[in-house]
Amino acid sequence: MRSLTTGRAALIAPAVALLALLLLALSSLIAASVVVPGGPWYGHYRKFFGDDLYVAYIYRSFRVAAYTTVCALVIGYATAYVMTRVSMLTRRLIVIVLILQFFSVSVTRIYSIILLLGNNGVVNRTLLGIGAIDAPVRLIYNELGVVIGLVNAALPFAVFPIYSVLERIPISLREAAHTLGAQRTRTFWQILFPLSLPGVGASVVIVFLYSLGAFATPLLLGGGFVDLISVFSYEQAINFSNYGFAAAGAIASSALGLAAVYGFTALLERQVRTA
Amino acid sequence: MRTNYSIPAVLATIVIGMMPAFAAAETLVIQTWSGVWETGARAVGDSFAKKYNVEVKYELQQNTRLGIAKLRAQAASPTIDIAFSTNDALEQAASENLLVPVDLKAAPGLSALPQKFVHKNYVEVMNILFGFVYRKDMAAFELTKWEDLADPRLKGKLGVPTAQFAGGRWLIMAALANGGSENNIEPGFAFLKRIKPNVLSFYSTDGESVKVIQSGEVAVAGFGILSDFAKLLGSGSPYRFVIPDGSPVLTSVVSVGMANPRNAALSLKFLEHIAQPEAQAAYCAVINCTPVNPKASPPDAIKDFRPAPERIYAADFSTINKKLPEWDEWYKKEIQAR
Repeated sequence: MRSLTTGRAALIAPAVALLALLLLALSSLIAASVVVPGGPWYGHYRKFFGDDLYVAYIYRSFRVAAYTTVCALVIGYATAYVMTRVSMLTRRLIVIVLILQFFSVSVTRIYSIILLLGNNGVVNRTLLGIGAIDAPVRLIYNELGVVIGLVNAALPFAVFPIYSVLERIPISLREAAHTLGAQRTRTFWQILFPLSLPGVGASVVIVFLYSLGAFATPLLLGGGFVDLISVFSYEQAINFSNYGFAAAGAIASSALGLAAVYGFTALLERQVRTA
Repeated sequence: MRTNYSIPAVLATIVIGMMPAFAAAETLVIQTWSGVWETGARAVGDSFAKKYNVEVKYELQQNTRLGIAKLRAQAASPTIDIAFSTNDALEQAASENLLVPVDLKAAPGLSALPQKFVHKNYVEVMNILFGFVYRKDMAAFELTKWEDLADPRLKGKLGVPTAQFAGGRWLIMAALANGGSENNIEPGFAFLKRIKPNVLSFYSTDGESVKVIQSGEVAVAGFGILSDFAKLLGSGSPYRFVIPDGSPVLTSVVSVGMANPRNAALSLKFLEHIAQPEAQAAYCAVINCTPVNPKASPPDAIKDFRPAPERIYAADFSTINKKLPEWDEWYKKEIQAR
């Protein structure tokens, strides 16, 4: 009995330590955001929300995160679905590709996208070569480029939660629906998709929060036009030593992000209960 | 009689093994940038280690401002003794009391440098030159002056830095090229508005400035560091680096500061060491920079770019550091937005 308790404590201790560290970091961030020399405690927040330049970081971050989430979800769901229908060998191959993608160095991955989609990239040179376009199409240095980069990076986060749920749905359910005369589309929307919602929910939350906090991808693929909130915080904290203002932006973004995630999960739970 | 040599042999091994540790008891920790900058710092640091029989360790900073952030984070108990940085960043560090004052009386070796390079809290050691670089195979004409960056033939072919690049020097250069200065930035802002239609993308580091032009994304990098491009130049090269005639020349000065009061004596010796012509030449041979010690020669690769000393502009970075956040806001609203 004692050994069981000790074992549990040993397992819980790292989690408590991690949580304590997280809370400590978060509280120091909050504290920094409300310390305003010679001004009211909310001074940094007033400056942040009082200037369109800074509010635009929030809008842009949420917009890019939303586009990325939708795109990653569609591609991720399709990939996960395919993984449940193919042979073991093909499935392993897809898993290997996704894992390699996950562990590849982000800057290298981003530069490979530039070499592919840039003005002088493979896509534009091919299109110019076959006469489909007269001038290079701008595929990067805009929100499209950032979304492409983020979807590319976030795809493993989208695929695996959905796949883990899809593979547990008994095949007999699909067969029963088919026996009862349901078409594939109807089977998918009325049986498979509702049952896979927990996986979809997990994917959405992970990909959305990952995109919201992305740094290198928007910095390099946005070409200076699509800086997200992380770039704002970095610049203020590191380049201008303005920690309080950087913290205010980070706290505002995190609070809004958490609110969005909370709203989404509440909606999803209701949907799952009624499904 | 059989003699057992094993115990003396083990003892001898231990003693010999410990000798270097005793001999090089003093350690100097140098913080520098990575890549070629680290190689340059090692060229100086390793000769220092040999000369004074000390151990020199190197810690890398991802960029100048992160280097200062690291000094700030460990201010209570510094582990970095020597910080390689730029003059503007060390000015900022000094204003935050992160540097140990340079004791000139205890460092006669610093008299090797013109005294304008020896400051209260740091020493300027090498000049890095700025200009613009273009690809001859992609630009439709020969670029010779700053105003050429506004030529409509470069529409969508120009990459320029963010306002924070190199401590705001891009903004200062824009002002200087148009009759302004850090105290009269408006002519620079007007110039930046003129070149805006040509801008394809912005870069925030010098590494990015090289990559965007090497990959053929842009034909012109509007503001860059000669040291980064020197290796790409030469006869037959598609790249051309231009420091336009007429306007003042802006430089970044590689500077060295002492961050650890507990190791100030050894750090001061390093400052004296890097002030000498041999160390300066060794560093610049790697970095492709101009030594500030007049007895040291710059490497051949950049001799053609050595501007007359009177053209080099001494920017006031205490003013620039104060105004940069405000200028950055303007730049983001007016230039770095579609």
